[in-house]
Amino acid sequence: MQQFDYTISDPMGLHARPAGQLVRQAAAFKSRVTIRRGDREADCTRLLRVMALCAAAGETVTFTVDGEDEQAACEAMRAFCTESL
Amino acid sequence: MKILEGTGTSGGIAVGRARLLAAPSAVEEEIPGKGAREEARRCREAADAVRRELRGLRERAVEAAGEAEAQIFEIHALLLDDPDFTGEIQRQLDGGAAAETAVRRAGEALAAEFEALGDPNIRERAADIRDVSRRLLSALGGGGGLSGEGEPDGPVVLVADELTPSDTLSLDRSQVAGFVTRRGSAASHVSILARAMGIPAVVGIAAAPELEGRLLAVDGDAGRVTVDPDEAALSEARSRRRAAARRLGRLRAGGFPPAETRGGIRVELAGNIGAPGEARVVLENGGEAVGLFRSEFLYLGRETPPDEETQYLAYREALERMEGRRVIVRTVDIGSDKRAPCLDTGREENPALGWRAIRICLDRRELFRTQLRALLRASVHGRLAVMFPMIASLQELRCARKLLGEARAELETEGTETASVEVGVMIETPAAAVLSDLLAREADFFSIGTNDLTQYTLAADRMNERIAGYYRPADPAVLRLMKLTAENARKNGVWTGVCGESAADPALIPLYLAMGITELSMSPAALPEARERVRSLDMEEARATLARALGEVE
Repeated sequence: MQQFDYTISDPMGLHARPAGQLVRQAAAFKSRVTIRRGDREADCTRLLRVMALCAAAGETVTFTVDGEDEQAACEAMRAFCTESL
Repeated sequence: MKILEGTGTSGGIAVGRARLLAAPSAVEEEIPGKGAREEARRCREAADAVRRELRGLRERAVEAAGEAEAQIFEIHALLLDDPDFTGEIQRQLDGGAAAETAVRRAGEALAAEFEALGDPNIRERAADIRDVSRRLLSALGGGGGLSGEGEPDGPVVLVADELTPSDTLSLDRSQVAGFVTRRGSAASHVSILARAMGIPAVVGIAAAPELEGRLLAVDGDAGRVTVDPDEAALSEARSRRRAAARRLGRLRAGGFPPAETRGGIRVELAGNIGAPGEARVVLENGGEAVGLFRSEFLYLGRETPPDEETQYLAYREALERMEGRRVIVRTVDIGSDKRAPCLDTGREENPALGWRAIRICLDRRELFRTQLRALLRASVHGRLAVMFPMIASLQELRCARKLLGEARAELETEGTETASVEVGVMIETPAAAVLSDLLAREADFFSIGTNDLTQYTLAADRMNERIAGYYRPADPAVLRLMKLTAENARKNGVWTGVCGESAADPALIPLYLAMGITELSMSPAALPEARERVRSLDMEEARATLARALGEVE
C-alpha cells in the first residue's frame, strides 16, 4: 500500500473536469485508488463520490493506492495531481 | 397569422414547425414494470444508446464549438456509468419499479443530494445529473428530451424558455432550422452557437405552449417570428432564404478574391467570434483573421470564473483553427449590463458607465492575472493579439500592460514558454479617441468599437427605443473621433481597425477606408458581402463622401 498527500492548487478545487480526468486515470490501473479529505473517503473511480468530497483549493487530500501495480499507479496519480490539480 | 417581435441574435431566415422543449416533467407518472429482469435489460439498452449518443454529440460539439465546450459530454458519459447512479437505479428496479421510474428517482435523489452540498461548483453538477437522466428517459421512450416524441417531419424551429449549452450542442443541425427563446441575448450560449452553426435565432419571445406544432417563419435579421404565416409571407420568407443562399454560394464560389479597392488599397477582413469553434465559420466566409474574440463567453453561465486551463484551451483552439492568422482576444468585457453569475457586479443605476470591462480587471487582479496567463500560454500556438476594452486613460493602458508583463515574467520563471503578442486598445470611449495620440505611442494597434463609441459620443443609449433616432454611427461627431484616431495611429506607425456592427455597413465601409482604417471585423456571415463592397470601391469617391459626412463640405 502506498500513500501520498496533495494540496489542491486549482483555484476551483476538485471540480468536474479534473475530477473526470482523475477518475479516468484511476480506472486505468488494477490497484484500488482512494482519495480522503478529512474524515471522508471516496473510491477514485467513482466520479460522483469524488466530486461530493468538495475538496477546495488549498485543502490537502490523501491518496491511497493498494494493489499489484501500486507503484506505477501511485506515480501516475502523483504526476496527474501536480500537472492538473 | 401573428407576428411576434424579439431580438435577432443570429441572422438568416428559417421556416419550420415549432417544437417546444419543455423542462422535464416534475410529476411522476407511475408506469407498471414488466419485472425486474426485463426492466434491467431496458435500462442497459437505454444506457448503451445514450453512450453512443454522447460520443456522437462530443464529436459534433468539438466541430461546432471546440474541445473546451465538448468536455461536458465526457463528464456526462462518466456520470452515466457512475456506480452511485447505476446502483441506485438497480435498487429501484429490485424494488419493482419500471425502468423509467427507477431512472427518474435515481436521478432526482442524486441531484438533490448534490444540490444540498455547500460548494457552488459541485452544486452545478446537479444539472448534469438531471441532463443524463433526461437522456436515459428519452432513450427509454419516456419523452422529456429533444429526441423524444416521434420524429418530426421536415425542419423544426426549436422554441424554449432557455436553451442550455448541452441542449444546443445536442441538436442535429440537419433537422433544426431555427431557435426561438424567451431568455438570452447576443452574448448568450445559444446565440453564439447558433451563429457558429449558421442557424437563425430570435430571443425575447415567450415560449407559449400553444405554439407547439404551428408553422413559424423566423427572421433572425429583423428579430421577428411569424406564427402561421400566410401564403404571401411564406413565399417571401422562402424566396429571401433562397436568394441569401444563392448569393452566398455565388460569393463563396468566387474563391474570395483579395479585399482590395479598385485602386489597389488592401483591407484586412476579419470576423468577430464568441467561441473558438466559430473560427471555422470565419474561414468558410473568407475571413483573414479574427478581429474580435469576445472572451466573456467563457465567463457567462457559470458560477465561478473559468480557470486558467479552461481559458488556455479555448484560446489555443482558436489560434490553432486560424492556422497562423491573427486572433485578437479582447480581455473580459463584463459589467452590470452583461452580467455573469461568476462575477458579482451588482445592480447599477447606469451600467454602461459603471464597473465593467478593464475597470473590473484592474480591481480584481487575480481574475485578470488568470486570463493574462492563459493568453500568454496560448500565444505559442499561433499569432495572438490582446486587446483591452473600455480604456479611457493612458494610466489604464499602462497598468494593463504592466500586469501583462508581470504575468509573462511569472510564466518565464516557471519555465513556461510564451511568444510575443501585439497589444491593442479598443477605442470605444470618446476619451480614448481624444487621447489617441498618446495611446498610439504605447500600443501596437487600435480597434474602434463603434457600438459603444456611438452611444457614448452621442449620449444615446442604444437599448432605449425612444431615442433610437439619436443613435447614429454615421454622425459627424462619431466619424470625426474615428478619423482623429486613425490619423494619430498612422502618425505613430500603428494600424486601426473597426470591430463594431457598422464595420459591415456597406454605406460606412467607404468612409472608414477613406479615413485610413485598414481592418474591418464583423459577424462572419457578413464577410462575403463586405468583400464585394470593398472591391467595388473607388477611393476618390469615398474621400469626397467622407468630407461631406464629416460636415467639412456641404
